[in-house]
Amino acid sequence: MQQKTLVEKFLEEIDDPLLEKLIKSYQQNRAKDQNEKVETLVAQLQAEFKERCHADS
Amino acid sequence: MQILELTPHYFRAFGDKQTIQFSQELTIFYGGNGTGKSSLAEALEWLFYGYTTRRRKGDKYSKTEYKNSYVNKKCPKDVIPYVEASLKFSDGMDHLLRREIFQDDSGNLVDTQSKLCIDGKEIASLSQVGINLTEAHRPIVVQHGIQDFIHTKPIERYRIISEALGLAELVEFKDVLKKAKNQYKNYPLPELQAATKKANNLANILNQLQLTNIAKCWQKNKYDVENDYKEIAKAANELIESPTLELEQLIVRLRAKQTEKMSRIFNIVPHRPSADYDSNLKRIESLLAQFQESLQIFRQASAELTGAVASTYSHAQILFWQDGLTLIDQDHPQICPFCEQSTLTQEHLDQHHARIKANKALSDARTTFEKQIDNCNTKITGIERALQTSQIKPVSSEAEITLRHAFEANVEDLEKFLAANQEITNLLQAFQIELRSKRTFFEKAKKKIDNPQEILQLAAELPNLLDYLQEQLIQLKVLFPKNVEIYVKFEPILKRELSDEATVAKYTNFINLIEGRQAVEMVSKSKNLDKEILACQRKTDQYILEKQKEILQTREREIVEWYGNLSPNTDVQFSGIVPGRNEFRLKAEAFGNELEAAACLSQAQLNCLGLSIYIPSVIDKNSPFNFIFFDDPVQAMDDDHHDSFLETVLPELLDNYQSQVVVLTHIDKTAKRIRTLNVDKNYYFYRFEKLQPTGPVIREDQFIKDLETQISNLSFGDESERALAVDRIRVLSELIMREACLKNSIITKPNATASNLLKEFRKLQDVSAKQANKLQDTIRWSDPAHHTDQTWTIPPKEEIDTHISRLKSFIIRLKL
Repeated sequence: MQQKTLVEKFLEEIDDPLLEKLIKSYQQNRAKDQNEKVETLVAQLQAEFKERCHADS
Repeated sequence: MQILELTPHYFRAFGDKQTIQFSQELTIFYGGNGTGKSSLAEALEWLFYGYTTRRRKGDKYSKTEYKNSYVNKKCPKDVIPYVEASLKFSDGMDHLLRREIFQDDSGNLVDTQSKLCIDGKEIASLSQVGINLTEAHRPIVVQHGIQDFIHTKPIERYRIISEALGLAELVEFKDVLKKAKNQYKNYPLPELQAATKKANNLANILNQLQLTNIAKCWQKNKYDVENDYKEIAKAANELIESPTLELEQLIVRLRAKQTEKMSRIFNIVPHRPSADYDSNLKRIESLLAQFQESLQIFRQASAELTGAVASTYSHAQILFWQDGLTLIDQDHPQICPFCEQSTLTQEHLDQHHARIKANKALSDARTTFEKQIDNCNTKITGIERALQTSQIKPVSSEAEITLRHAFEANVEDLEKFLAANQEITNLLQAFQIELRSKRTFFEKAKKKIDNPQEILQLAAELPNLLDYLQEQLIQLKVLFPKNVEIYVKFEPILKRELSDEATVAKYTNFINLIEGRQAVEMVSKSKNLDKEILACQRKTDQYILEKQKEILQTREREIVEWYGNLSPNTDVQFSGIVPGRNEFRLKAEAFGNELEAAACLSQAQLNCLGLSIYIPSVIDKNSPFNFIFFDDPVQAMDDDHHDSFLETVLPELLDNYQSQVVVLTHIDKTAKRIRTLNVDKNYYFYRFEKLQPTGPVIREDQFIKDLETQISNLSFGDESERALAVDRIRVLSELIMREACLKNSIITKPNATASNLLKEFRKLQDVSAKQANKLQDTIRWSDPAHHTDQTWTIPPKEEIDTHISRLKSFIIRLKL
């Protein structure tokens, strides 16, 4: 059985939907360089904002 | 996992494939600077991780500088560089791991991407074969990694230590999140940008509507949209004097009211009669009386001026006569100073004096005349000012349309107001025109100062002009109270029926506020999201801090122990690590005082500290690796620390942790010392001899042969060299015994004495008792005890050669 990374353990322990989304997005791009990871997270935050605005409108 | 073989192929300094075998215990590489040693370390690092720490750091500074640096410059076209390794996994099975530089469809090598294969089968990552690679267990302790640790800022050291503690990924997530948050906030989406601008404008509108509490909150980006809009609706309902309407109905009503009010914009202030008209009229009356007095004085001045002008002479003549009278010779007053004839009679002289006097009178009359003109003008200005304060503007035709529209049901009152306004404004206008004409009159009079006849003509018109003004004043005295009476009655009706721009602006502001709710909600949501992101950052920080503490509970002790091994017996000692959010405080201790390690430890001690932090992470029980690869680990160490590393740390790793150890060093002495200390181990010793265009030239070291050659050379020398040759013969004898035992799988202790080694040597099947006795003879002959023996004499070359020949025969027979 593979040992879990600390990020995976963190994901399991937290109870924060936004943080969960951000960690998952980060994990999906772990092979990419840091700038790309930042870009992906920015896109994730923008999507989150749009989703929230859209949800009530 | 251990390394059995490594084959770099056109990777970094390596050319065509070159296979290097590794001992499962100790492999030593010696090579001068620039012979390609670090390429070997990087090849292994890249094979496992797909990148090297050196490249990753370099790419942060310049992507172009490091671009394609994995590929050897001599790599032929159509050749794909790779690194391949034969590995022994923890289950005892051997596997072939290979990583190739990625080649795109156009045949170009893209060294930031690679293809990984195990036993010829492509895999996405090593996790597919059950190997979980983490930064914490990175088994290659790279040269620049240790250097970085020594010369770095606290924040960078934080990253390096976090990496060693296995927190690298979490710390990177924290960094990525921080950068993403900043980017997200600094470059907002266009719709959010527009909404923020709108919300800021709405905060100003709230201030204009006296909703200052909400305005203050909005200006501080504190939104409680639901409750804020309840307050706004309450204020808007009050404005339209309606029961509580919901926002949707409210905005409909507000728009209707706004349209209605806009059609009734009328500013009544200019049409309102002044309340203190009475005092103003009295002032005008008094000024008119003063004006009348001034006019009389003016008339007198005019008459005097007219008379004076009639008897005047030219200015030149007056000057001529004045000069003449001054130049008269008093002894001969009858002689004219100009013609020098006796022409000046007393009559002539009196005439000249009279002319000069008359001229003086004219000048005085002019001054008086001008002064009186100014005096009259001052009175006119005073009257104009007094009139200005009681000014009432006529209702324009456009305004009349608005009024008629507003007063469709109340025409009678309106007509009265309009008539009164017209009557009084006409009179005021006429009065003003009259005053202006007076001013014109006096301006004209000033210009006629040299024309007595015209001055008299103008002065004759004055009484009529004044009479007219007085008549108008009488009419004003009647009309003003009448106008005030009508206006006072009509004003409440006006105010009720009419509107002004400020009132309309209130409606517009409420409409904008309600229409802008969506923008406010958007900004509010954005601010809430900002707070949540901040909370995510804090949670991540907190988690990292907790993990730091958790890991350091055991790791700190290990690091201190390893440091103690590397740097024993010093007054200043590293004593521990204090976790923190953005830095690790490294503590030191000296004479019972706590100090900052970074500031107080020497470079060598910091180098030791770097190694002490790396080593426990590599040998961690969770690491998939069972090897540790040191690339020049002792660069900044002095002799004592250097010895500690070789004599304490390496045996600890080899013996207690059963680690496969690989050491690269640029110091020949270090390489040989490692080998000498570990002759009982299964070791390989390689030399990077030089770097050629085809790659590094790596040869296995012939230590025994080298030693034999060295002794032969010394035997030709003087007494001191021959004495040294005897000592070397003893070392070679012991080495032969150790190597022979090792070949037969007999492990001898590093500190075993020569007699102990001989006992083991005698047990070897290939060695007869006679041969062992011969070696024993050589050992006795070369016993270091001779250094204290006063009777000992340095043997001649021939005697030394006998023992060299004996040892050579052993080397050949035992195939050492």
